[in-house]
Amino acid sequence: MVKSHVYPSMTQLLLFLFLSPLIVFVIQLIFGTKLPRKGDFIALLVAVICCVSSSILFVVVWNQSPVTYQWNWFIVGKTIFHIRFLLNNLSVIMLLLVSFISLLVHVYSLFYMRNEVFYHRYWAYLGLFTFAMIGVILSDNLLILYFFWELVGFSSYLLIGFWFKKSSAIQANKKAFLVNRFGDMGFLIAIGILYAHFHQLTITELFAENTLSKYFQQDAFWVHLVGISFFIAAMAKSAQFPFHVWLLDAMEGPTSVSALIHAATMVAAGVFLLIRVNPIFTPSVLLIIAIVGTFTALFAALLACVQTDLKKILAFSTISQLGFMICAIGIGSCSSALFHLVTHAFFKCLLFLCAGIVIYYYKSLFQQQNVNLDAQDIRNMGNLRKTLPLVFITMLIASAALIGFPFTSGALSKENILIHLWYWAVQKEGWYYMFPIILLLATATTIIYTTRFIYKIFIARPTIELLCKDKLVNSLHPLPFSVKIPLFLLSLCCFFVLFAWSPFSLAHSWLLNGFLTGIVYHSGILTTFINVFIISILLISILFYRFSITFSHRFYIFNMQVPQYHAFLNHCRNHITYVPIGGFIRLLNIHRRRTDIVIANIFLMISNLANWVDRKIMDQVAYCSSYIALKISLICSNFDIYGIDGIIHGITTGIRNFSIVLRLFQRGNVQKYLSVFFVTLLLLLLLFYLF
Amino acid sequence: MLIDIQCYLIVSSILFSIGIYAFLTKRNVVMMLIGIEFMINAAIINFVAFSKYDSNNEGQIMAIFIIIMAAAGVAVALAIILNLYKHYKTIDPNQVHELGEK
Amino acid sequence: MLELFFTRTATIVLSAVLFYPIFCHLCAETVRAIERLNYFHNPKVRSYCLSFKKYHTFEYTTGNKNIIFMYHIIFYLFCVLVISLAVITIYTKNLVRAVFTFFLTLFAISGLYVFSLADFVAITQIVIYVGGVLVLFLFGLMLSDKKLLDMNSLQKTTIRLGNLRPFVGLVIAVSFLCLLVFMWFELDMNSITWMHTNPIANAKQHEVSNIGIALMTKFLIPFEVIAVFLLMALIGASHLMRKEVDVD
Repeated sequence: MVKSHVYPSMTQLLLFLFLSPLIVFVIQLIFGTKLPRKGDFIALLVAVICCVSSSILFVVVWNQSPVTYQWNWFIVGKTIFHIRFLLNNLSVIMLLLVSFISLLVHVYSLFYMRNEVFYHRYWAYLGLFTFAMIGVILSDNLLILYFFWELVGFSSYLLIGFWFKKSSAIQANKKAFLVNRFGDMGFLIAIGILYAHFHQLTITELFAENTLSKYFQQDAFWVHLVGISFFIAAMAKSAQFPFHVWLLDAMEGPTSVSALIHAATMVAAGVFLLIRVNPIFTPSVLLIIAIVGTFTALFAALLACVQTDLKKILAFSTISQLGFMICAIGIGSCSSALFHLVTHAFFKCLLFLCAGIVIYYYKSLFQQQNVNLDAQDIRNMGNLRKTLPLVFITMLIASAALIGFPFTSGALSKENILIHLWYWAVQKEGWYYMFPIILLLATATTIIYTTRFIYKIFIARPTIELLCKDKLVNSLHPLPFSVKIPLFLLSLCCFFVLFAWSPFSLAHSWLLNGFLTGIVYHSGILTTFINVFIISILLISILFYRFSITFSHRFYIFNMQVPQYHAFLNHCRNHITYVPIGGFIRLLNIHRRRTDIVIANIFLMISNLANWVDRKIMDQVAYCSSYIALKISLICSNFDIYGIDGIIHGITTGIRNFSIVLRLFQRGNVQKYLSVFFVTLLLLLLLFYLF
Repeated sequence: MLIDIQCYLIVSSILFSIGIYAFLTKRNVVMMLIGIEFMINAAIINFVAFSKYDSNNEGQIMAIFIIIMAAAGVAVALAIILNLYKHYKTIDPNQVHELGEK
Repeated sequence: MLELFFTRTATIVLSAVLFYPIFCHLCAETVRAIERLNYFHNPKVRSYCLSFKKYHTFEYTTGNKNIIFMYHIIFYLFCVLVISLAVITIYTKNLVRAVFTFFLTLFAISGLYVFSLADFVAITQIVIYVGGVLVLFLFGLMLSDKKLLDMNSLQKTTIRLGNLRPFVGLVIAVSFLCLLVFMWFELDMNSITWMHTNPIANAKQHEVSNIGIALMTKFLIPFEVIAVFLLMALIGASHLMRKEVDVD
């Protein structure tokens, strides 16, 4: 445990960095509507401060010895729980990433969200999310990490349901919350097992010494269970195969939110967790992780090919790329996973921001033209490269990074993963060669769907006559600065120079060198092969799209009436990607409903079981205890009524009756007075004579 | 002694009891007054009977005093009764159980 | 009719008032004589008196037994008269009749006084009760309201609101009587010493002058007080009976 004696002001800086988004959240919630401009400048200022301070922390801590900050939290028995922050290479790079992307999204949101009714609430939620994410990154205690993990889920729930008047948004955020809850359950199980065995939850102390592996060698069951539990948590958060459903529906939120949360940071939390607790995974669990990651990568990429909704294409792309990262973790190469995480965060964020602009453009256009069309559907788009040239260029750069085009950051990280996977498969031999082949297929599919949506949006002629007009009203003609700046900065980050000196030499990547755990493979042949593969696939797909569109135009345009032409175009649009992929995707296209049903059935069974337990056992216990309490209180009340009240009533009744007797002498009846007098005299005389 | 003192005492007792009865049961104030007079006379009889054995005749003197006081009592009582009748239009003692104005 | 009734009554009363003292005195003298006679019949007393030769002047004959028997008869007659008249007084419905019977009872009682050698008390009884109380009664009742005299009309309207039942009154009275009679029989006359201190002096000292001397010497202050008290009572009675006169 290393304490921060060297930098005493670091503690304050860290705390400030940590707590200021929370302060923004509180201020925005309480004073949001009363502040000028609904207080967005506060959020922006805090985002800038966070970015600057995390940069300072990054400079100070990077490649230095890890720094730990610790405060006592609470004490259970003899166990002291600490609020413990750890600053090492992993956390500072994540910190920088999160705060930087958060800042850019803040800037972007100034323009993008400016007309919202609940503008202040948006900033509050962003503040809460940033706080939670920083907490996840910093905390060194599993319990604290769990809290922030939950908080991330909660803030994403709030942001997905930001347009809470849309029923689809409500459904989506409910779904996201429930799926994340399932993952959190895995996390909680893992924490419980770890605490039961080690009586502490501090990550560094759990994993630093060799006690963990020694202990778990004796008891393999528990270590498998812990590993799988952690992986379930990460799967839910990173939207891996069975749990990927929530991420698609999460696209109901604002696009800026999707850019921040569902592309760059939040979904990365699952990968981050896996990297953090990496030592606990046994080889078999790692194999499961690799299988799930690989499968998800190909599966999501294939699904992206048949999607027509722009944001959902990007969401599937995210899932696919996360599959790449998970796969990298599964083969034991955390550094390459992290590298891909960082590069992916930048280009995916850029893609989402561009998609936001495109959607914004079409939405305003459709509103102006008074047509009821889906602004997110790529079938309604086309030929945007002249209208929005800057967006076209930046999106092209981001797409290049996504597909791993040479000279981009994505190329470096993707190559890294593929090379690692190849060497891993070479070590294992046998059917393990499936993994690099599948990932290569996934890469190829990535190229196909990326080319598809870029071509459709920016190059192809729009299929709707409305958009074929030459002069359309461009509501975004001078692109606002708050959009330009993030786009520009993120485009810069998509190039290789930020991560490595050489575009082909991974050995020079400072980021990979920061993590000495991973072995850096370097192979010129493989690099060349991958690059050639990517470029060739890219060329093929471009030619295909170009050819297919022009072919169909030329072939059919002269022999067709207008309605037939439109019907044909619809057919083209819908089946344009089915040609290369074939009927296989038709089967996959129905997957979502099926998986939803299966998951829903599992949840239903669990909840039915819980309901039964609740009804038959808990309710009975509660009923019995309430019955006993009722009886006791009945006894008490009887004692009160007949005992205490009875005494009082007895006294009062006695006094009353006695006074009734006494009242007889006070009625004003003289004869009765005298009769009483005589009777008394009689009795007295009798007494006198008898005794 | 020619006549035993017990005879006087028994007669006075009977008279006294008649007075009690009259006082307790009669629903007429005048009759109640007569009952009182009977009781007083019974007392006087006792005084006189015992004074027969007394050489100083003090029993007779007490009897005279009692007679005078009884007369005074009757005078006042009759005045009260008449006022009562004027006020309540009745001389039933059971109906006269309220003080002050009717 | 009423006037005739009043005159007759007044005549009877006045004559009784005038003559009854004399009658009483004569009776008392007779009783005294009989008592003395009886006294000397007692062998103890006779021997005692003869030894002192005090009552030697008083001779008696052999026919005295009849006189003593008559004496007893008359006494018991008076006793029965007193009780029966009292009972009649109680059960008479008419108020005026009841008052008259009451006064007859008082007369009979005065007879008992005579037999007890208290002729002055008997006369006082007659004078005060008949002269004062009876006249007061009758004039007070008759002159105020006619309705007052009719007990039935009054009693019929009465509601039995908590009044004592006649039976209960009877029980109380009879039980009291029983107790008193029991007491008299239980009373040991021999324990009362002063009744036996001077048995000879009895007959002689029952004189009216004796009472006068006692009233003026020993009982002077009570006598004065009772006079003032009587005055006060009369004034009070007349004050109570006054008419309400408006001061204004």
